Amino acid sequence: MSYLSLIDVEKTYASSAPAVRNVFLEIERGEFVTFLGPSGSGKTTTLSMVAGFILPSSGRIEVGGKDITHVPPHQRNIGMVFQDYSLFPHMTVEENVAFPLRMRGMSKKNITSRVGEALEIVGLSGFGHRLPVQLSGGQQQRVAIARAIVYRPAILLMDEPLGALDRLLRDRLQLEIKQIQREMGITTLYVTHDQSEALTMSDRICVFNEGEIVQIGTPSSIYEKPSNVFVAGFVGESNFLECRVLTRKSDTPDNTYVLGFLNSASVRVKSERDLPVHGEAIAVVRPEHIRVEPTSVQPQTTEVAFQATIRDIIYRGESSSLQAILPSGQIVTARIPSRSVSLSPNQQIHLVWETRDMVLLPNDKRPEAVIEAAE
Amino acid sequence: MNTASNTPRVAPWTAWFAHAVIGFMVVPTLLVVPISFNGDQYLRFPPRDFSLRWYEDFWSNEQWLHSAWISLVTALAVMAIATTLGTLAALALHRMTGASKKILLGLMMSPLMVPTVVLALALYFFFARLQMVGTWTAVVLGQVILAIPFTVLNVHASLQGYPATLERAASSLGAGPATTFFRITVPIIRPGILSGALFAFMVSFDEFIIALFLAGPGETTLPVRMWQTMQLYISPTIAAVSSMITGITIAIFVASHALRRRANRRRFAERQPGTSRLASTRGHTLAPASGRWTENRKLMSTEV
Repeated sequence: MSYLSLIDVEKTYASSAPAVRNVFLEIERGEFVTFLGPSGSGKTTTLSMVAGFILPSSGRIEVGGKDITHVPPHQRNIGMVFQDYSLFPHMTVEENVAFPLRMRGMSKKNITSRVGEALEIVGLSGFGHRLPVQLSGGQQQRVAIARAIVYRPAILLMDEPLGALDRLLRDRLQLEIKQIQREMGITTLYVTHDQSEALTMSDRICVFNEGEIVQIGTPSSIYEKPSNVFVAGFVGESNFLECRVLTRKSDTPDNTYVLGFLNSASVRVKSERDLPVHGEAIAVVRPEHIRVEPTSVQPQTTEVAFQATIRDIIYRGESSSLQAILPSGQIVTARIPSRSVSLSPNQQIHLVWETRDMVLLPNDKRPEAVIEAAE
Repeated sequence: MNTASNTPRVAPWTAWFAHAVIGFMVVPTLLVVPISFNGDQYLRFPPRDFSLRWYEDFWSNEQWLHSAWISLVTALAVMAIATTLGTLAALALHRMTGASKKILLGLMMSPLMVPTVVLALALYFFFARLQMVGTWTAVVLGQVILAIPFTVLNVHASLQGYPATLERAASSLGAGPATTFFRITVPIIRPGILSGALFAFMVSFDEFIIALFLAGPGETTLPVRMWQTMQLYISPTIAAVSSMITGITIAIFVASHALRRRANRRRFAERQPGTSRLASTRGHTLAPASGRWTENRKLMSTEV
């Protein structure tokens, strides 16, 4: 039995395309679900509807089987953390954290102990008498988290909480938030446009694009089995190779397709997906799955090899990014160890990967458009 | 503290010119003060002897005191009405976006652009229809129009950099709309409300044209009384009254500055979005100077 349900939720604003539509979502108690997507994809709008700041145009939101669609936000018992911290500037840290407890009419004594507890959880004991303005951004966000969990709300909503922080702090707070969430067992919805944040923290990820959820799944399934070109382009780096489905082999239990690539030999690939024979398809390969070999090396039977010319090698610290041009003119990116000194631009090479690392998707969109959207 | 080192060097003549302009702005007003202490029958500068007789004349004159009383009561009424309306308007404007916001803000600022004589004349005809010319209410309502831009601007400026999500945060934490307004919104905009109120008070207290057009004989305000007195004969009492009004004005602005400083100490943390364009183009709004942040922080960290 799911705890939080969004049932066919839709939000339409006058004279424009729906901001959010067709959102069906079932979230278990204690689950950490991330809404991932580019800006304007509807993820924050959806979160705001759960919080009660925005009324859905149609559809229902239920918590524990109770319809809360029309319950005003202050009666929902939901905790929310905002990107801009939203601490009350005229109250001390302690007063900020005590605010929701005071709203609930708790006794002074209980408030003091609960506030102390919450501040300890976020590592800010002893900061109680400071004003928000006297804290760093990271500390302010910790206070905001303490304030959102101190009353043990049914659901915790976080709207890009780490968006304004620098990277090191972000990495640390990601782990801390995840830990607090797990220890308290609090059902959490987390909005971000940072795919690595989503992959690190979530039990499940909902990828949003243009107002719709385009894929829901665990981080590994989203990353390894993107269900469409958008997800493949938005979550992690991908190479998109256009191809044509030549035939389907029916002698194997799985679907095995023979694909024809431009200026290249045909390739046999297994896929869980039904693809139209003779139709266009896109083969997705992650840069880290691509190996660079000398042209003399022949690929194994389970592998694909493409001839290519090195265009550029970009040093990125722990690895380097190699860009190579296929005979078709397409540029493919491969991740290679930083010390591959033997490689240099204009060199002829083979790009090799295992056929099972390829994900076949229907060619429903031009990959360039997707990559632009992702950036 | 050491902001002087950041100011670029300027040519000496620029500084002299600036001082001359400041002198031109201030000296004529301040000349009134020594004149008011003159023992002579006439307005004379420099004064020949020192005397408080013109102050005594004011404080013992029933008519002057009555006018002062009328002015005070009028200013308080204008302050109360304009502050309430201006605060509500600024709150509404803060939630609006786009063209409608700009148009509405422009309309609310229009009393600053329209010549007061024109406004006074229009109000005269308007209130004549309502048979309200010569009433105290008419004067108050007329001056409220003049005061509203100042209250709107001050509250509007204090709302800048105030995260829009603060109210949402409050409601997510369990505060209803009324609680949110009184516990969160009002404390945050209080400095804007207070300085807006002071401006409104001052606008009314030294307003002349509308009071002249609309006030009846029983409601002669201080500026109108001064003007009437000067029609008959120029008594140094006027210099005494002027000095006192100047003194009150200075006191009020010092008070409003103190308020602003106190408010700045409690303002928002880093990455505050810049103060509004509006606030920076209009000199009389109370935009916190962003350069003052570090200074305030230092100030506070020593307190802790």
